[in-house]
Amino acid sequence: MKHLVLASALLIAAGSVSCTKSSNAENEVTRAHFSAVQEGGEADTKAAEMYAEFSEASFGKGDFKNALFFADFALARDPSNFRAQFHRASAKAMGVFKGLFVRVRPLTRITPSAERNHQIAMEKAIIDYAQPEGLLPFLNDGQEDLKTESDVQNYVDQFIDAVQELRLFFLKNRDKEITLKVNPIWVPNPLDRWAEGCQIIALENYEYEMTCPAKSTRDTVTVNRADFEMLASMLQLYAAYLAPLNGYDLTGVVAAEKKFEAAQTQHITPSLMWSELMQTPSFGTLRAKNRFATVKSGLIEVLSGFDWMIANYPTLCVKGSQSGANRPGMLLYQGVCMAPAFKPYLAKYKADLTAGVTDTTVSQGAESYTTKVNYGAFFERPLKDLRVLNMIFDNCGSVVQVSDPTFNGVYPNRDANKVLSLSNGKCSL
Amino acid sequence: MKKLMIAALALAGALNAHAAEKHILDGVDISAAVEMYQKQIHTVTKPFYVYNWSPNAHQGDSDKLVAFAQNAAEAYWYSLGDQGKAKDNMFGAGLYAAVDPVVSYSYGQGGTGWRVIEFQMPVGLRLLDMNDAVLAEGDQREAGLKVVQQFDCPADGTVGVMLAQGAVGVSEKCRRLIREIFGQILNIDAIAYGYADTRFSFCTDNQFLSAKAFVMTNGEWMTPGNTKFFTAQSTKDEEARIRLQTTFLEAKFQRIDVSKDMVVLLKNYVKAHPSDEYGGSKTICIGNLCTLHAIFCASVYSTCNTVPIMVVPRVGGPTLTNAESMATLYMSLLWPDLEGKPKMNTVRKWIKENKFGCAGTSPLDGGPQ
Repeated sequence: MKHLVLASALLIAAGSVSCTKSSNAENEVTRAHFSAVQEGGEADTKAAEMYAEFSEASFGKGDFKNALFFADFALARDPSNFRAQFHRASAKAMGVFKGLFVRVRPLTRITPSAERNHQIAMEKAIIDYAQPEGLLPFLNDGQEDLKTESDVQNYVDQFIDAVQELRLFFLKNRDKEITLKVNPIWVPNPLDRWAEGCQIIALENYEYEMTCPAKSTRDTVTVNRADFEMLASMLQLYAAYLAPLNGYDLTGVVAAEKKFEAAQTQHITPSLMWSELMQTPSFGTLRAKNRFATVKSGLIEVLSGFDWMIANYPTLCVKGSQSGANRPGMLLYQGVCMAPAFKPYLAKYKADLTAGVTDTTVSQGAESYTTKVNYGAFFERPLKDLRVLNMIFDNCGSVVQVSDPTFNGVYPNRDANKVLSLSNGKCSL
Repeated sequence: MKKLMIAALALAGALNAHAAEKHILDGVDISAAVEMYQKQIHTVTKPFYVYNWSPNAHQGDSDKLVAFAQNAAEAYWYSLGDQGKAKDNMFGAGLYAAVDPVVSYSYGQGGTGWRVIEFQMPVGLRLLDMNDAVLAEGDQREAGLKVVQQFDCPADGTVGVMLAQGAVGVSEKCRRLIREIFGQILNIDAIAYGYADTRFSFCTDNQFLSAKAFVMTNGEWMTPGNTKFFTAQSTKDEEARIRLQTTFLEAKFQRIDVSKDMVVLLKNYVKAHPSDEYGGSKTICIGNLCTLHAIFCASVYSTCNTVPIMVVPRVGGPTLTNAESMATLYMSLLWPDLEGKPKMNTVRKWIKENKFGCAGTSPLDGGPQ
């Protein structure tokens, strides 16, 4: 099942989230308690903060359902409560992982090797996702409903939506600051972080002194602009990576996998796989809900985030990229180290993306070739069907020839095949 | 007053002459690109020192070696585009120098076969910073980039990208433009770029400012006074050699990081004693070894535990000794004749005054670059 990359990527992503079912009895007690809280003015503000803290505690236990419930309750009293807003947005995003381990089961049964891999992954998951206590129950709380490539691709759409919603929340609130109680979701290793924040300083008298972060950093973590910028950029990059992968219909991958495994095919080259996939008429056709149009603007936004990190490098990366003492007590405590040396490269990437046609040079050995490239063309006007490219692969699996010499407008000088052969032509056809 | 007026008139005349001056290359007026890039030239306003290490090709202390450095610097523009020479070099083949002698020592390949050149970068030197994107704006930028594009250079005109690996990624036409503008017209003396440096605790903690290296592109400014050569066989200029050796010991003393073992030890301690507060540290030295202890205090009972964290060779003492060098740097003294000589007891002050950015301000015009 190795070609169902998306499903496995989601399983990996699921490693960073958790949830648990709440006790109904507990909820009843809590609701009764809420109804007793006085309403109005300052009382509302205080009550909202208390509910927001309940939301935070539930989130920390992986109980996303109650995290949402308490956050909504808090926001009903005080819509400006940022703790509640933060946990509402986070819990809502995590909801996309509910039942994922069970949902993907049908796809893990398609071949014996997929079944074995799934079993190994699950054995590991029991250890990796043991904390918080609600994680495994949450990931197992679902129906076996992802049965086809189309089901998986629709799920990936939902996943990207969740990623984008959370990212927009981070961006909208990037000037805010919040201090959270540590929990296994946001901060799985608070003691390591505290110890890594210790620093040894050489003194005038040739003795050493060690300084360590405050004790409070073992129990709390603060999120501010740098964290929000970095998290938003990471989420945008993830979305930009998934969008092209999910842009074309993948129907036929499962059948191809089954066929190759049944035939015990030893060496499945990209060329062989591509030929097989071409047998399914819908494979490689542009999906109605493709997101190619968002990729370019998304990448430009990521680069702008990086610009901000470079501009603030002196305060975000004071101790170097490996040091835990850069930002003790902050969510991204090791520092955000986007070195100024990247600045010209970022400027070039941004210019390449915005300029339309730009210059690029490819080289192999002593041979170098400069031509015009429109990096955005493929995303702005995606092909309706990948078949029209008639791709030819070399023995290394790289595409070395296409029937459209402009590669759908990317190479306006109609020299796509020259560029491909220079970039990839190290293996025989 | 009269003198001032004459000076002002002369300055205005010079500016007008500069504005009117046209620069033509291959029949194309490249003046707009020259003006655009002029904004990216930084001038040294306070001298600082940089170091180039290499395997020793020239034994001895000869002042004639200044000519070697001058030639190496001036060869830079001619080696652009040379795929063979550019290999593994950030901006092509050239004379590279870092802001302290310790961080680039490994380029001398250790042992006794090294050579180090110490440059004192004088006031007035003109530097081009590779970290800068095009700084010009508006019409000036547009006109400059138009010229750049006429010469098949990357459309955004970022010099750091054009010169990467010695400009092997751009066309020869573009390289001609680069040579003409930066090597001939703007006549820069060195290229600056982001690189590592030694972290000294007494320097202002701003890696953004201080972590730089340089590629020399013009040797006219080099003299025996500001360009000193040393090899393991050097015997002259004892004062400078003592300073270099003391700097190595000082850097080692400064370069103690919290190791992974220490992290585990500290983590396990606070895990076992969750209510304990970290209360500072103390160093206890016995013989040639010093032990750093962490102090944890339980606030409830006001009792403290002293936890040994690391053991390091004792650093210090008034004289340079091979024993200390071996124990701390794991290498012999750079020059055996320094054994028993007094260390430079003002080395920290010297580093603070002479290491690029250590004092917290940039020695280049325009603030931190």
